[in-house]
Amino acid sequence: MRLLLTILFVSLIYVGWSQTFTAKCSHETVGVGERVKIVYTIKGGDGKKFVQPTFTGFRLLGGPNTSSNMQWVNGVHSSSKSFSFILLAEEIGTHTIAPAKIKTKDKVIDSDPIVITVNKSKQTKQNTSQGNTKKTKQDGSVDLSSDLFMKLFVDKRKTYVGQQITATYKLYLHSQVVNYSHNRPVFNGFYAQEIKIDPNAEIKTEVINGKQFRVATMKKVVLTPQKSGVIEIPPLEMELIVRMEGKRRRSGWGTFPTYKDVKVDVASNVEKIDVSPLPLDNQPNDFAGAVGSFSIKANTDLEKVNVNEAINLLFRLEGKGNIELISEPLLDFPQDFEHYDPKVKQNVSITASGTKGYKTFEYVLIPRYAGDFEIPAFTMSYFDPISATYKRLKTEPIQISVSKNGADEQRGEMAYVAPKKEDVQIIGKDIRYIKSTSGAFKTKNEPFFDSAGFYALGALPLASLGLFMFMAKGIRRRNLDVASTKSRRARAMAKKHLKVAKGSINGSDQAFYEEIYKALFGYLSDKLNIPVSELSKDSILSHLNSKGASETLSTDLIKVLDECEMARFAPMAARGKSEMLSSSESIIERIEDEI
Amino acid sequence: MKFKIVFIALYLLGFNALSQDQYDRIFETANGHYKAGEYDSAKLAYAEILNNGVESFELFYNLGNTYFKNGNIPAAILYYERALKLKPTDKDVKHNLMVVNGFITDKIEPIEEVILTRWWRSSALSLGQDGWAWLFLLLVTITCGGIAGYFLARSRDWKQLGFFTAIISVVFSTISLSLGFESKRISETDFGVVFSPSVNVKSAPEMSATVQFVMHEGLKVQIIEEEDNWLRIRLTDGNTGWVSDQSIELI
Repeated sequence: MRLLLTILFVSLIYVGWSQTFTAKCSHETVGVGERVKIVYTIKGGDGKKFVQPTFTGFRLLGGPNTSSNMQWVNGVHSSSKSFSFILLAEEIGTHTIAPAKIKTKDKVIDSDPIVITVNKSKQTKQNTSQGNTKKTKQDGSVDLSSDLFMKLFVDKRKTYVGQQITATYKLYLHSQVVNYSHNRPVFNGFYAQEIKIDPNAEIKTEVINGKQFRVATMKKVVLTPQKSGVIEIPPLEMELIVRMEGKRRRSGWGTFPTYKDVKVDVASNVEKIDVSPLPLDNQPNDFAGAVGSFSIKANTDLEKVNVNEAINLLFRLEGKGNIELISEPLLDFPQDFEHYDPKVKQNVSITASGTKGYKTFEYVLIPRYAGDFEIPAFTMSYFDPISATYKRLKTEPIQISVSKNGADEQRGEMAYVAPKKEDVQIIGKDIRYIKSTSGAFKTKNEPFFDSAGFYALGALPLASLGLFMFMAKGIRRRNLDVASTKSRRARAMAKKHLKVAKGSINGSDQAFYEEIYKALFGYLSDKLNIPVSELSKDSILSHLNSKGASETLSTDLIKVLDECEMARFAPMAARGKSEMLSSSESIIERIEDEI
Repeated sequence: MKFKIVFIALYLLGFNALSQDQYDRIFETANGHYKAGEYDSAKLAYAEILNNGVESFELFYNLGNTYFKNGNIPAAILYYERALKLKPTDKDVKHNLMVVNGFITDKIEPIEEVILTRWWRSSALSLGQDGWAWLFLLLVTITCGGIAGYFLARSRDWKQLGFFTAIISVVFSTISLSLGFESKRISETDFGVVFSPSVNVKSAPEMSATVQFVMHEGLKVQIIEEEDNWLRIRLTDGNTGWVSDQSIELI
């Protein structure tokens, strides 16, 4: 038993030790743009650290994806771990992918290198091997050009701008299609409207060259050419997964067919359409691009209405052609009708023979005044591609009589905002008439502003102000000194009084002496700056002394003053009047000299 | 020196050979031609006055009318603009300019001016630079009088009167001085009228420069620079460029 266990253990260890690290790829030869799967597998042990190689010439799309597997079979344990990568072949040539490395418990194992040959893509190969049917290629794709193809049908190859054509893409197939997808062709130069179809629903059978095909309509488009010239309708490209019947397989229960799904790309042919421009000669003025065949009709729901009652005008356009591109008609409504933008309805169906249907424009008209009105006939021109001529349609004019329903109108008029007053329309613009009287003719002269003369004149008032102020200041200062002014004026004042006295020398004594007295005392008051109230002989003497007058002057002055006073009250002619005058004058002169 | 005086005297004599009366007579003859529909003769008569070196608002205005009647739109615009320069507030010339401008090809959206700037400009134009100059001088004199009054007057009331007179007239004299400068600036801005039927406005003053835009005759443009025989112009919408001076007549 112990031995057995030992053997088992050893064998386990052995199993654990016998590690292999392999590399496998799904294809050894691939086309550019195809995928390759590479799987690195380690058996018998757990890889600790996997180092992936660099895949030169390929693009790594996915991976590494790790998966582990563990088994116990008849008591034997086996385990594996794999790392897989999805690569995209990008460069043509033979590429060697370097070995990957993995670290196990105690060593690093390298895988084998992988050699992959990348050649040109499958499609180009298909073209080179045309004529062969069902030739299995190296990469497993199959050429099915005689079994599976597409065709583009157009209902006409010559058309006019605006005249619709129908393009149909059909798939012919003999094999069974599992899945498909197709591109969206871009129709340059056309306005394309697709007719919705279900390819599965419209499968018909057709026999071509004795071979029966199933035909599926893949796409149906109504195309309206937008410009003239030769315009190409692009092919529809499809990618199909076709189920192929392979070798029959025998088994215990009989023979079974084997199937294989193959991817096939097919494309339809290209059609060139010759689009002619619409003829320019005889093109009517009111032609607005309508191409096809149409009829128009205009009618109103009422023909007799009251003022302010709404009328519905229905304009209906019906026919086949580029009806969706036709714009609102320009109707000339009577001025007194208020009208609103039309309500547009269209019912257009896209059919294999082009678009057809009708379009209506519903106008609401409100007559604001009573009277008989006519909604004028409306004309519309279109191009008829069948006869290649322009045709003109005309509706009947509609007569509408609007009656004045007294009360109604009254109400209506009140509700209705008064018509806008119009500005005076200036009909012809013209210049105003010439000036009949001439103004003063002047030679061009330099402007006075900003000239030297201007500044000189500007400076003049400022300068005179300055001068004036300067002078005024001197006058003012002297005026301020009242005492000195008084003393300056004292002599003049005294002289004035003496002059008056002299004038009245032959008059009354009273007046004479009064003047003499005023002259002397006024003089002294001003000269010595003694207020009249304080004027006395003592104050006069003390002021004279302080001003530095001599003693003799003071005594003489007192003498004169005394005499004057005495003469005033006792008019005795101790001295003559003239003597009095001269002594007064001389004393003033003497004071002036000394002080 | 003697020569110079003689020369100046001759010069003045030559250009002022005719008196106001004589100009008036020519002017009336020209008006007569205009009334009779003889626009070519009217034009010549008006031009005769202009050739004497004198100008007047009425002369330019009537010349503008004559050119317009003759179908010469750019010349009409030029003379109306010249008339407007002499009398920036005249309504007739403004109306005629508006009418005549309807005949030119280019429609330029002027940059909107702020109402205050517009008001300022129109006040500046209302009196003209010399008008503002005299008003300024008057106001300066009043200011000086006010100042003198303030300092000299003895009573309080007179002092106050002098003070406020001075203040107010100082304010107004400042305003009239700035309006005078504005008016001077406006009158010194050079404008021109495009005379060539179609003018390529280039990015640089050279023949090989890129053409930026095209102007047509009759358009009034501001001239902001001069180089050799090229003028740098500015449109009322702010676009600028260089044009040959042959294609533009200065206002």
